Amino acid sequence: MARRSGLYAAVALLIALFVGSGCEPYQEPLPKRDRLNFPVGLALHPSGDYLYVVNSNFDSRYSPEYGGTVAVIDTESLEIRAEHPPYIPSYGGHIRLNEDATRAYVTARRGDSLVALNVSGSEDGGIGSALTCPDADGNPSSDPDNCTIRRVPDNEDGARVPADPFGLEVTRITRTNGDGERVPVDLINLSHLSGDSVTAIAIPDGNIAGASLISAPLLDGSNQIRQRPGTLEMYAAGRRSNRVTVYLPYVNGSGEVEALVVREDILLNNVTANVDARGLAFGQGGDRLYVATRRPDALHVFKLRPDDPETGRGTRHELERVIPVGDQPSDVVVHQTPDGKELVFVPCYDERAIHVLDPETGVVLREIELDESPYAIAMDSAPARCVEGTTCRAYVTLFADAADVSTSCDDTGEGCGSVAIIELDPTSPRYLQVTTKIR
Amino acid sequence: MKHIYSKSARASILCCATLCSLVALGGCDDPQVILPASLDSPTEMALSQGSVCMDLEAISSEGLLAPTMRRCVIGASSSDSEGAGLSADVVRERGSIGLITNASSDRVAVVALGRLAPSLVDLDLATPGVTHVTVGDRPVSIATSRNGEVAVTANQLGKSLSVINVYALGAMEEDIPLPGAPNFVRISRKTNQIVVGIPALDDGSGGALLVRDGITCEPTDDLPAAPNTFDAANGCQGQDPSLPFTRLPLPGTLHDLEFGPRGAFAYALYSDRAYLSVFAIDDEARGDDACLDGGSAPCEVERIGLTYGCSDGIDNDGDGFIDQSDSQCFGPNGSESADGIGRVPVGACSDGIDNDGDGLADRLDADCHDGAQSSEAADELPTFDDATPACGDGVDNDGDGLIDILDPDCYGPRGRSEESGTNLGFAQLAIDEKGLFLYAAQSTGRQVVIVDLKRRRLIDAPRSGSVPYPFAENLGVAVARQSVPSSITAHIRRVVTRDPRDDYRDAHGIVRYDLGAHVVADNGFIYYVDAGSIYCDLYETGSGGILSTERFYTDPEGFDAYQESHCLDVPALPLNEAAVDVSSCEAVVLCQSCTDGEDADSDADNVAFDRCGACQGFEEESFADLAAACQLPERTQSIGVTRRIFNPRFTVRDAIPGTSAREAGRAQCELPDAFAQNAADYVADNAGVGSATSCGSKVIPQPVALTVPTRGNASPDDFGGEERFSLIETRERRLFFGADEEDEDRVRAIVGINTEDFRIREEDWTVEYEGILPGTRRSDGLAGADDPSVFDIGTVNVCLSDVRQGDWLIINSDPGTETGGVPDSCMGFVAPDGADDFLSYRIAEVRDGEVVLETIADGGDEEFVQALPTRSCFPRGISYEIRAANVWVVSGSESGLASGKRLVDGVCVPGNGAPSSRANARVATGEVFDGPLFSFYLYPGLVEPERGLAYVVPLERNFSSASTTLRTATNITLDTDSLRPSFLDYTLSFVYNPAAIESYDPDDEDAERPFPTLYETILTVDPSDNTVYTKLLSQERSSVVFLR
Repeated sequence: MARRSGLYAAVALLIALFVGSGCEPYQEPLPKRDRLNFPVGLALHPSGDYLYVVNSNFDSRYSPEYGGTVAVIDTESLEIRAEHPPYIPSYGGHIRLNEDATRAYVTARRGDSLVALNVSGSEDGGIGSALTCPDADGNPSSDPDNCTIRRVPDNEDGARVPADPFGLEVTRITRTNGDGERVPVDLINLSHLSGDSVTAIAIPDGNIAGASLISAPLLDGSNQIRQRPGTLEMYAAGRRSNRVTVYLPYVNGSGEVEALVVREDILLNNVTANVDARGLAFGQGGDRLYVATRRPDALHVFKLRPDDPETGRGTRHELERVIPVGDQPSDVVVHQTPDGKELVFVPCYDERAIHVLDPETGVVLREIELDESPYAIAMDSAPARCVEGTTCRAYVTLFADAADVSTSCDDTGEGCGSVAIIELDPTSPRYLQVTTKIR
Repeated sequence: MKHIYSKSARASILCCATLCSLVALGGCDDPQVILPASLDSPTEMALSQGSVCMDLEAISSEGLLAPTMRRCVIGASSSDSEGAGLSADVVRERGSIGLITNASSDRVAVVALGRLAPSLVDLDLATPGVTHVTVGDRPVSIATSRNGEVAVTANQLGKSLSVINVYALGAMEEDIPLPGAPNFVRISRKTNQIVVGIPALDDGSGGALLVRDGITCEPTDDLPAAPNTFDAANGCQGQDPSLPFTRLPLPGTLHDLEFGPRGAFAYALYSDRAYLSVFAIDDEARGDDACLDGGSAPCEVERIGLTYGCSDGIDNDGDGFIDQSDSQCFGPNGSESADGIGRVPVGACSDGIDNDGDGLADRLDADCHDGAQSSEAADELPTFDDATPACGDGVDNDGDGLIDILDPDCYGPRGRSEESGTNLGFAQLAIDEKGLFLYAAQSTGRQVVIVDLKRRRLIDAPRSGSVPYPFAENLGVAVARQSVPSSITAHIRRVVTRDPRDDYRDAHGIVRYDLGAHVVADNGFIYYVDAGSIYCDLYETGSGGILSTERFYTDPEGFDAYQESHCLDVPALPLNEAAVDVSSCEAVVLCQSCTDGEDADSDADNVAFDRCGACQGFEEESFADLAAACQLPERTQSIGVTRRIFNPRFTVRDAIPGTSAREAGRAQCELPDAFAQNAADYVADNAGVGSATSCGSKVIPQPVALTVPTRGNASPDDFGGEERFSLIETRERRLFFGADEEDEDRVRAIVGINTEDFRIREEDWTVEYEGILPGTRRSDGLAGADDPSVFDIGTVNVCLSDVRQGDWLIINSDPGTETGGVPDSCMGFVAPDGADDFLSYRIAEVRDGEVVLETIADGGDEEFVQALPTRSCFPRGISYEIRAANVWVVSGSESGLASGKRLVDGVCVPGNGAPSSRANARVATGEVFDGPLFSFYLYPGLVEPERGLAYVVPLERNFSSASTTLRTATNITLDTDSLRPSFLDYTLSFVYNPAAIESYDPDDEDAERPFPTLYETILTVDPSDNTVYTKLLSQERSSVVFLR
């Protein structure tokens, strides 16, 4: 019943948006915003109160320019806030928030887009309860047009975002402008499933119009990028390569990204030219790198050590272990338990399970069985939250999970994904089990 | 129950068994059985080679095999002679069953190994698919008992052990629970105890080995039977899950676990420790060893360092201090004592002595900046920089919350890093069949380190070969560039050559042992790490004569009773360093080239071949005088009636041993104009000395090989066409029986000499008179602002470039002001005749980043500038070069100089390789050069050399790591598309010896004795491809059998 009422509300809102104001330029048919629709990437607001889920939408009947959404989920009620999800182009990928959680950056393969949404509050929710994009008048809206970056600068001569952006990493740097003021710069790094490019986009002071972009042919079919903690070094891995490329985006004093400086290529596998790397993650201290691959289905564990042990200079990537995991891993995430121990979660798509590994021993500690294929994981496991009375969870997108009751997805009644919640509180009897699902 | 047979029956059975075995392995009718793919993340394989036999009956034209389990025919032997054969009065039969854990499907697959084409076995032909043995959740490890009747799997997700009765080929109903997720299970051959490795116990108390009593299964009346048709518990004892475990705490995170060949000691490798632990299984095995925790066995009795002494986590010298705490350690690559293993030369600050009598020794002495420095006394030392080191700067440099010496990674307050420098990444270990060597693959170092298990000490492999290579940084054997060793299996290949005389045949022979390990690398190749070879002149005094091959491999406990055990008494390594003096060894080479009667006095050319004189009378077998030259005494040892020769190698085997590295063509020379003119004038003035136009002219000073003969040259000018360099060479001493009738009982030893290709790079070496020191031709020099004698040389590393007092610094820039032109005050820097080297200075002192210059007195002819460079006359960056004075500089285009020095706090101290006389980059005219890779004699010629006279010698490398194909029968390299050994921890390989098959020579109708044939098979379990590859090593072109 609640779902049904939510659906009505969403429809009403859409009608209001389309008919009432007439200022929303996007065209019907639009996807419904009260549900999940082939969810892929997800991110959690730092408060832990809201979860953002990228609905990729593989349904071609929707307008491709607005075929996807980013669902905003209240993690307390576990309900999708149907009135708040913004539209994005179809085939959305991943989502990351910037350092102060004022922006959510989302990749979408349709139109080779990066969508920069504002993270804001709403009347019926706290900070982070809405993702919006300003319309022509500067009012928050669900229309992504003014937040979608396809060329930099945004004119015919601007440099294009290369094809099929998918993975992304967002970091914050500061530069001093001509007036001596410290200006924050969001530095967004994109991977691209097509071609061999990796892209960095610098957005000084949140001003998209002032963005700069540079791409470089670093890696074939790059799928994921992660920043090594404590450094500005970016690590990219791809689907059509057997390497992890380490590069450093160079941002000049004006906050413009000028170059991608290659630091190193780390070989993952000497035999297979195409290891199909799907996930990258660093340990908490940045001294351990995890790479999940599909050829073979494995987790590669690298230890990062000084290149010169006498002086401690340089970085050497030592391959510690290659651990078999279930079929078709799609991500890798590091979780720190309340007692400080690191666990590595690898969602295995075809295995319909998540393998939980101890990186110190290489032992597979647990197989969390799911009834559908997992894609990505977001952890709500900050030590402060994993205490009694708070949530300590992992959220997992189940890309094509079919609902038992066929009303939650679309008019055809076909199911189209869910988010599973896994208990991370070690004191809970349901520790490392699925406790519920959000549809 | 013991079966007794009549002699004739035994003979018949043996005959049948051997012939059947031959037929089976001979492969005339042994097709590979094609079954549906059934392996699913195979992780380990164990062998049941004992009392359980599996008969296979072909039941269809497709070769489907119906298995029947039975007890093997086993008896005691009264004769072990390999030659005894049919006269033996007891027969033996051993099972050959492989058991493979499948982590993803929770099954143990069964392999029939006693066939040329090993095959997976479907345990239930009536069920679709391939039926295996069902065990617990995620089995990752498996072990079998000595008699092969019990197998145990370690189930990681199930946190349990499953027990398989191999007679029944079924698992017992109840698993044995464990207090944590296991990663290894092993069974002691000695005690039958089960040892389980758990890297992290659930109670948070760390990792542990759990030891419990073993399980036995006897054959029952159910046999013979099809698999899994009777209760697996029938006939078994000790499987009670409630039986207690003894818990042995582990000091690190367990990464691999293996027993030695007798099951007395278990060896544990860790992912976070640079040593391995030795555990004694019982007090008998422990012997005189004390338990580290003071208790009784089973217990940990020793730790063996696997890296440099200053970072292996062990108190190597027994002074109570470990690594960073030991005042003899200045960094992770050093050693804790002079006889330890390290790569920093031991000097006055690391010798454990208070050399200057100030009451402080080594690192505790404030004057010690580095262990290799020559003195502890400040007044005997150059001035070190006072730069603040990372461990004394008051900063948490590595962000671990610990500052300076509170950081355990700091080597004292002068430590240069707070980061951990410990060398880890050890992946798998393997032990050979006699427990001589333990090999540990190190994925991070791309090498295999080797431990002498008798002495429980790491072998410094690069310095333990037949010609030590002191310049290597690593301690192990590098496998191949850009590849990571992923699994390893150790092996001793034994080949017996019997005395050809009938009366001695059974008891006397020469046995050759190849010691080494096969390494599966992640590039799809299998390499052979060649530790060395042993030749043994063996007279087996016991009644049984020489051990049969089968007994050699399958009965380690009985080996000590044989004289042959002395053959495998490997000497301590490295061999006596004094005995491997290269110059002396070269003398051996030289002598082999000398003709009888030649001596220095008759050497009319007097071109330094007088060393031939010392070799008069040299004969191949008369090593008495020459032995000391080439470590031959250490290699040869006579114990009782055995004499063995050990040839250490410690390299990867060369795939093309017949083709050696070499100088590629004659050296190309560069003759400066002035020198060419002088040489031409000399020839014109001295009739009969020959031409001076070619590089090989004897008029011209040049490098030539030590082996160049003095007579019989095709031309007086070309040194007989000999090569110029003598490349570094290994030496192997062999034993063999003489070939002819008169010498048939003669055992001869010869020295074989091979060029050491492995160390040699493909590069050009330049020998240049007063050559430019590498890295010193620059354009960022600065004249002293205050003191013109102090010249800033920028970032030149004066130690690596070997800049010395007395060398030349030559300025190539013209003087001038910022705005151009040369003021009158600077005209003294303008060469009067435009000479290139007018602005030459002599270096009076060398400092870090600067040199002190002095002018060169020239007798008034203004050949060189007589004023020091000033900042006003050279205001910009100055182009300059530094040249050695009056000597030849030897440098490689890739290798650079072997200076034997390194820079520490602004001062040159001895560097890696420095103790060796081969740490050398300069040679004077008329002297012998012994360098890192080659030697030569700098023939003085008849004309004095001049600056710029140079020779370029291209070296050709002909080394290719021997590798083994695992797919096709036609190519020696692996098909890299098929083998994908990607799992460093899980790829497993081992050499499986199904026992030598003794049978009649089918080509010899009159043969009365069986001949031994080795059927060594390497098996590689590859979980990344759900495949097990098997290949006969002894037949290079044999096909690979895939098990999927």
